[in-house]
Amino acid sequence: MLTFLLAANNAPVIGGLGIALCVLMCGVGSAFGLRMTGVAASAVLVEKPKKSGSVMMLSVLPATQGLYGLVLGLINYTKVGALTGTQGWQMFVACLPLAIVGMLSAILQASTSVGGLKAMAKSELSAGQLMLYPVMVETYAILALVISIMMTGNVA
Amino acid sequence: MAIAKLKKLRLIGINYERQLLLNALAETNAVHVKCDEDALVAAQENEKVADISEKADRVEAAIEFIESTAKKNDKDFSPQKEPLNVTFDGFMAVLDDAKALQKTVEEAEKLKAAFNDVAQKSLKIKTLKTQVAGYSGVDVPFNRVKNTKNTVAFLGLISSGGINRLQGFVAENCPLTVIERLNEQDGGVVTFVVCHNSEREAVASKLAELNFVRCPFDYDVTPEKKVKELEGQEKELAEKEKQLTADTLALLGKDDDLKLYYDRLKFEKQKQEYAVNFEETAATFTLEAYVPEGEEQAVTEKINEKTQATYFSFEDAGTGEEVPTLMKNNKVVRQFEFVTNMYSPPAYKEYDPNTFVSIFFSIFFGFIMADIGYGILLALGGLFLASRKKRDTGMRRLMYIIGIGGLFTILFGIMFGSFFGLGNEYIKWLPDPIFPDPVSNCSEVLMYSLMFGVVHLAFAYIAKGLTCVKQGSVWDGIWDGFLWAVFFVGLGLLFPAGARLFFDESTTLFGLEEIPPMLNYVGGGICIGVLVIEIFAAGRHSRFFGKFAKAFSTVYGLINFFSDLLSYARLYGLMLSGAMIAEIVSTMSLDLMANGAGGFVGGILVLIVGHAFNIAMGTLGAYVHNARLQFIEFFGKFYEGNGELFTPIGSKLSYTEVSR
Repeated sequence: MLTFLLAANNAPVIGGLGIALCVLMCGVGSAFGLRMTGVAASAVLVEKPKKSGSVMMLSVLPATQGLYGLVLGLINYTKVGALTGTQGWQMFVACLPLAIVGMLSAILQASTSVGGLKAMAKSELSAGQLMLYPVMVETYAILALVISIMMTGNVA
Repeated sequence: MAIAKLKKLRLIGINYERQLLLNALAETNAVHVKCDEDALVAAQENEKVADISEKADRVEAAIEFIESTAKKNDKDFSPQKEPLNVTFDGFMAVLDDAKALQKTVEEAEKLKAAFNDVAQKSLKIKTLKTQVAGYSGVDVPFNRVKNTKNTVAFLGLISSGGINRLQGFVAENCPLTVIERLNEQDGGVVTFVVCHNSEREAVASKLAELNFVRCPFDYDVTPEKKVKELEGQEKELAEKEKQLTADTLALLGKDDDLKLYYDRLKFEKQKQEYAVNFEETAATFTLEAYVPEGEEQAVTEKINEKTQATYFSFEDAGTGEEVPTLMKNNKVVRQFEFVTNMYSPPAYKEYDPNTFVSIFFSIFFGFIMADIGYGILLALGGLFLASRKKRDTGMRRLMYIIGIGGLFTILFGIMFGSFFGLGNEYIKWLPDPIFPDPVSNCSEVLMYSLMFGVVHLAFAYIAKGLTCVKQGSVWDGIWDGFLWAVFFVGLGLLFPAGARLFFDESTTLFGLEEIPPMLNYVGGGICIGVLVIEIFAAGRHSRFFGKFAKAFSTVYGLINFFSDLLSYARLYGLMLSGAMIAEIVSTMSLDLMANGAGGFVGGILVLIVGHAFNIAMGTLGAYVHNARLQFIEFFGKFYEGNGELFTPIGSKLSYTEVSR
């Protein structure tokens, strides 16, 4: 197993695995997040059907991390075939920040959005005012995206 | 294209002319009466307000009842969405028929109560019928099943397992007991048990142990006859329901009158809410309101037309008070107020951001969708649906936004050379693209989307500067606004070099194969120069240690700049995902259509369904993520909002449009 993992000609597999994991984990995080906000949004709309636009704004916020994972994947997928030596592991490690932070921040952002949706159900606060708090959670996904882009850019 | 200047109207009138004056002000459609939210809430406690409110609620309930009954009976029926057009005098005259309209409301309420009664009775009869029908195996009247001098009779339900155990028990212990299985039903087996008095205790106790449920009925007819009787009652109730439905549908002709009545009551309630909060003496009251500059003459004439026994004056709206906001924008920009108001309307003293929002929202929308075919569909669909709505509602504005976005989508579609996901290798008449292919030139197109962010943020600081200037602080506008906009110009000049630094040497922006060194020197110089100036200027309102803290936070704030900038990467992500799906759908359809008649039909289906899905998802993403960029990255730099929209008295009506 160790021989396989360290073999130079498996670099494309390792590197590709990193990129795939990044896209996968960010996508899964966004999917879980959107599920949480979707359930809360349905409940809010029962009480306040006229707020459908505002509710939609808050509930779609966790979709961003999936997009970031896609962006990183699209930037780097062409490099996979050219990876050699330890470059596969470099690529794998470079994708980790966005993979982990993207997934977790999507779910955490969703739970913040759910709080905002509950506030919207009980008050006249607008989506714009409530959106700020879930967006702060996304800041760290953006920082992870930056680092992952920079690190993957230095690989091949 | 700005926030309209308002004048403050102070009016002193005679108490008994209060209604007359409020009606006159409503007729001008240019007067926003001053009344804060807490006072309006407190006014609901007032007896008169509560009385009108209750009347209005009853009218609304009657309208809902009539329309829902009509919908139940005719699937094609849909309530009229277009407003009822009426003159102001006609609107005011609605209360002349108040008695007749109230009678209609009472009629509707009686019909609704009768409907509920019929529904309850029908449900009861249906349940009873099911229960009685369960005893179909009993061929004697219920009340014939009773004890005699020497025997005890049990009729009821027992489970299938229970009856077997009962039979076993009786066979062993109760020779003078007979069990007859009558029929099976959902709850179990209908069983008739008769035993001699001497075995009564044993049988009764065994039946209790086996959860025997005794028949509750003692009708003097058989179950079959009882079921027929109940069916007869059901038929009668159904006839009654039919009659009630017909009577309700007859009220449909008065639906428009009820809607007018409802709006008229809403107007009365609004006047009463304001009136409760006026300062007053024994004979007079004081009213404060806001009027757009230029409308003073019209308001003056209208008041004088109604009464001379009043004193009023106009003055400039004060800086210390909360003045409502009336935005004066052209027809295009006005639609984007829908987006801004979703966050918060601008305050009176703020710079109106709607012009910038309209430009950038449309550009970002077009960039994300970027397809000629999609753009044509969105433009035609959005503008057509918007033109069909006569009333200026949120939905109409949204349709206009999508229509305008569609036009920009066509523009970017031409620049990317895309028609339903296909380029000029498939469609010969398409021009050569100006932008590079987003799939094979990821880094370049990503940098272009970040460039949009640079421009957007620059304008955010320009808006900040303009806001400060409007509020009278020119120097704050320069240091906190315009200078930072210059910083972003410098940052923009560094982008070609930055792209090569972050990605690779082959990344070329704006066709610059060789980046002129002067570009980097100028860009870098501007950025560093502005940063140094800002470090010194940041602490201008602070003292001692505060100056250092402000200077530090200016440098630290650069991290926020880059974080904001990276948010614009979503434009590229959304655009790319949409473009790739469009390409896959189109190429798949073309391959299918080349495979005979069946493949042709399948290909057309894939084309329509695939592109419809992609347009829907793309439009949703383009709207939501675009709005988020406006609210967070753009508004976050300068906008406070929390304004109150200018709402003329008598204008907030649900079903009516009053022409004045």
